[in-house]
Amino acid sequence: MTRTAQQFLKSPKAIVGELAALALLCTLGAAIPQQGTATGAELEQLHQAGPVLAWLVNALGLDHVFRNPLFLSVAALTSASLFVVILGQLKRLRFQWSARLTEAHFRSAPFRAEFEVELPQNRESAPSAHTRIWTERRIGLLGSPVFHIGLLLLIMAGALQALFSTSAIVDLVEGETLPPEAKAWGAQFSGMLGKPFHLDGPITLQTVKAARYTDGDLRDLKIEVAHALAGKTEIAEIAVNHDLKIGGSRLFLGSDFGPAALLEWQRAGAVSNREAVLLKERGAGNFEGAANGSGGEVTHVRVLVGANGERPGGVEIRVMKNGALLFTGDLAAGQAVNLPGGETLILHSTPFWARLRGIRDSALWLAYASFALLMTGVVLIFTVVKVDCCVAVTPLGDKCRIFVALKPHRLAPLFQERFDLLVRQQQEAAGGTLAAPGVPAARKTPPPRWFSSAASQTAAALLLVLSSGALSGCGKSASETEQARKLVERYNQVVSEAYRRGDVRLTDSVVGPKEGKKLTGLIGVRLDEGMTLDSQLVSLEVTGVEKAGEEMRVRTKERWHYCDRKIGSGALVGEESTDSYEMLYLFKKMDKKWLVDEIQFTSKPIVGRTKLPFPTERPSASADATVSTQKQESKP
Amino acid sequence: MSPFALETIWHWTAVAFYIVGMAGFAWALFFDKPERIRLVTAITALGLVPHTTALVLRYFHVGHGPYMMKYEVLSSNAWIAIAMLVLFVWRKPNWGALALIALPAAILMMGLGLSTNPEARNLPPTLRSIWLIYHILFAKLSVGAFLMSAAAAVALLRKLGGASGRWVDRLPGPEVVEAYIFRFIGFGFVFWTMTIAAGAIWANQSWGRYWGWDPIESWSLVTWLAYAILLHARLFFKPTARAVAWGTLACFVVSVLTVLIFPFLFPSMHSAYFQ
Repeated sequence: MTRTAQQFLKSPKAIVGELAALALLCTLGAAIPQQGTATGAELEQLHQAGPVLAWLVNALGLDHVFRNPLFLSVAALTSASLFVVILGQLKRLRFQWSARLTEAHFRSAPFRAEFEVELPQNRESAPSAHTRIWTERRIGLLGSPVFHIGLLLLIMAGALQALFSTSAIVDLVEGETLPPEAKAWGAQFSGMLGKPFHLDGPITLQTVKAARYTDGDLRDLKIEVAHALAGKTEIAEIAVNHDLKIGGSRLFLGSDFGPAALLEWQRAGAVSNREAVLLKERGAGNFEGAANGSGGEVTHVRVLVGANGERPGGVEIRVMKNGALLFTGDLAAGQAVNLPGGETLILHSTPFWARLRGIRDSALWLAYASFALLMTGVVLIFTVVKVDCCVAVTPLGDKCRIFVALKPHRLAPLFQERFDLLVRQQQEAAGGTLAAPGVPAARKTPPPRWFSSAASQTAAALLLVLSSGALSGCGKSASETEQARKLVERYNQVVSEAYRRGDVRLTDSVVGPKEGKKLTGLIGVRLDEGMTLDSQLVSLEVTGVEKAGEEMRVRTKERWHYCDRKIGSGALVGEESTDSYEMLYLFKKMDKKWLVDEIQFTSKPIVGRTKLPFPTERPSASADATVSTQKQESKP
Repeated sequence: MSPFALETIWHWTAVAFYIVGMAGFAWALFFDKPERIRLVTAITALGLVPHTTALVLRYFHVGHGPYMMKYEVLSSNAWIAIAMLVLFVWRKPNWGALALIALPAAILMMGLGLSTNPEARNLPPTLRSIWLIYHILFAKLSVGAFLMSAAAAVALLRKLGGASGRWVDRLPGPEVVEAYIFRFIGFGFVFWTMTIAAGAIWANQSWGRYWGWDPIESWSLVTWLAYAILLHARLFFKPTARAVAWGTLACFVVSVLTVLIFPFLFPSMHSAYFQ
C-alpha cells in the first residue's frame, strides 16, 4: 500500500465520508423492502411503484442494497481505513504507554495553577525541591484500538460468513429419520464458497413437545432427536433458544411446528398415494393445511390443538375437485372414507412435525470475540480517561512555590473538580496557608472554528438521511384506490373459497361479526341442501373510494360467473349464471385490520339465471325478484 | 380491584408527582430559588416509587418484563429517563434546567403509553431468553442517555442564542455543557453498542445468525453510525458548540425514530413484539 493511499485512508474526511456513506446506504436498505427480508408482495409493490422508482430500483439494486457492489465497495474501503487507523493507533499506543513525561508536557495542560504557601513556623525542616509526575487510568489508552480491532474483526467475521457459511432447513415428522446427505434437506442457503449443508450422521425426530398458555398461545417448544455419534445413538433435546451442536454444525428449532395428517389415497388397480400434510397454525391452536391428490383432488385438513398440546385424535377434512366439494367431515386416525369416483381416503395418524434449521459457520467464534473486544473497547473509551498530573514544589525560604497541572486525554472540561481537589491536596500537604492568590487555571485555547460550515453540512446530511428514510416509509403506502381494490379482491377470493368448501371459518380474516353472521347462515343453508357455490370473479372495477378515519366505503362494478354443485359428486345443480353487480362495501378497521362490515347493492343486479337451485324461505312476487334477493344476500 | 386498575392508579400517581416536580423545577429556576432544586428533585424522585410499583404490578400481572406492548415499553423508557435525570440533577443541582426539557419528554412518553392498548400479551418462546432482557435493558439505558444529551443540547443552544434568565445562567459555561453532551452521548453509545451486541447474540441463539439486515436491525445500525459520525466529526474537525448541539439533536431524532416509530412503520421481526 502506497503512502498516499495510507494517507487518504486515515484522513478524517475519508473516515467521516465512509461512515456517512454507510449510514446512507443502510438507511436505504432499512427503508426500502429488501430481497430476503421483505415479502414477495412488498417487493412486487416496490417494482410497480412508478416507472422512475422502478428504474432506480433496478439500476441501483435498491432492493438488495446490502449485496450490491456499491455497499460492498464502501464496506471494503471502510475496512481498509480501519486497518490503517489501527496500525497508527497501535504505534501511538506503544509510544504513549511508555513515554516518560516531563514538565514540558504540561505546558499545554488545560488545568494549571501556580501558588505560594507560607510554611508553618514549627516546621522542623524546609521541604526539598521536587517534581512529581504521574499518570492515572493509563488503561483508557487501550479503548480506541481495542474497539477498532473489534470492529475490524466483526467485519471479517461477517465476510467469512457471507463466503463460507452454509445453512439449510427441513421439516420432519415425528418418527422420521433425516439421512446424512445434503439433498435430504428441504432448502439450502450456502455462502458464495460454502458447500451444501449436511450432517455427519442420520438424525431421527422422536417427539415434539409444545407447552401453551391457558389462552392457547405457544409458550415453549422442544423436540427430542436421536442422532448417531461415533457409532453410538444419543438422545438430545433441542428447544427454541437452545440449539444442539453436532460436530461442526448446529441445529436450531424455530416456532414452526404443528400436527401432520398422514393420508393415503387408494384406488383399485393403482399404486396408492401417501402424503404427510403439514398443518400450519392460523392462530390460537387452529392448524390448517392442504394436499393435492393424484386425480386432481385437493384435500383441506384442519385440526384444533388444545392448550394442553396433546396430539389430536382426528382431523376435519374437506375434499375438493374442480371446484366441487366431494367430502366434508371428521376422520379419526385409522379411519377411511370412500370418495365418489371409487377412491378411498385413509387417515393413518396425526403425529407432530417441526422445522429444523442446520447451520455451519466456522467464523462464529470470531464474531463473538469481536463482540467482546467491541464492548470492552467502547467501555474503556467513554468511562476510563487517562489523566497526566504534575506537582512541582520549589522552596523559597519560609514559603514554597507549588505548581500543579492536570492534562486529561479527553473531555477536559469535566475535570475541573478533579483539578480543584488536586490543588487543595497540595496545599494541605504543604501544611501552610496560601500566601499568594492562585494563578487561574490556564484554559486550552478554543480550537479554530473553521469547521462550522462543514459541521452544518454534517447535520444537514443527517437530516437528509433521516428525511429520505421517512419519505421512503411514506412512499410505501399504496393509493387508496389500490388499497381498496386489494381489500375487495381479497374479500372476494376468501369468501368464494368459503362457499366452495362450505367452510365459513375461512372468512374470519376478512369479515366483521355482522357480515360473518350473515355468511354463516348463507353457507349453512347451502350445506343443508347438500350443495356448495362455485364462483369465479370475471371482472372488477373500483368506481369510488371514500375513507374517513376507521371506515372506508368502496363502490365497485363486478361481473361474476357461478354455479351450484352437489356435495359428493360435484354435479351441477340448476343453471350456471353470469351476473353483473354494482356494489357498495363498507369496511371497518377492527383490531388493526380492514374487515367487511356490510355489503349492499347500489343498483338492481343483472342476473343470468332465472331460477334458484333451492327454495327460498322468503316469498317473492316473481322468480326474478327471488333470484335478486338471494344473490344480494349470498353474493360472494 | 383488577390488577390493571391498580396499575393505572399507580401510573397516574407517578405522573402527578412528575408534573408537580416539573412545576417545581420551573419555579425554582425562573424565580431564582436554587436552594429548592434538591427539594423538587426529591419530589420527582418520589414519583419513581408509584411508577416502580406500577411496573412491578405489571410484571406480576403479565408474567414478563416491560417489553411487549407500547404501554409497557413507553412507561419503562420514561422510568429509566427520569431515574437518570434525578440521579444527575441530585449530584449537580446547577443542571436543573435539564429537567425542564427531559421531564416533559418523559411525561409525554408516559402519557402516550398510558393512552395505548394495555392488553396483556403472552411472551412467545423466542422472547424467553436472558439476552432479550440485556438487549432491552441496554436499549432503554441508551434512550435515557440520548434524551439527556438532547436536553443538554437544547440548553446549550439557548445559552448560545443569548437567552437570558437565571435558569440558563446557572448552567456551566458552553465548553462544560458541550463536554457533558459528549459524556451523555458516550454513555448512550456504550449502551447502544451493547444493545446491538446483545440482540445479535440473542438472534444467533434463536435463529442461528447474528445479523440478518432486518429493517429494525438496519435502523439500529444507522443510529449507531449517526452517533459515530458525530463523535468522529468532533474529534477530527472541532466543530462549533452550535454545530455540536444541532448534530446531537439530529442524532437523537434518528434514535427516537429507530426505537419508537419505525417498529410500527416497517414490517420487521421487531414490530410483532411491539404492538
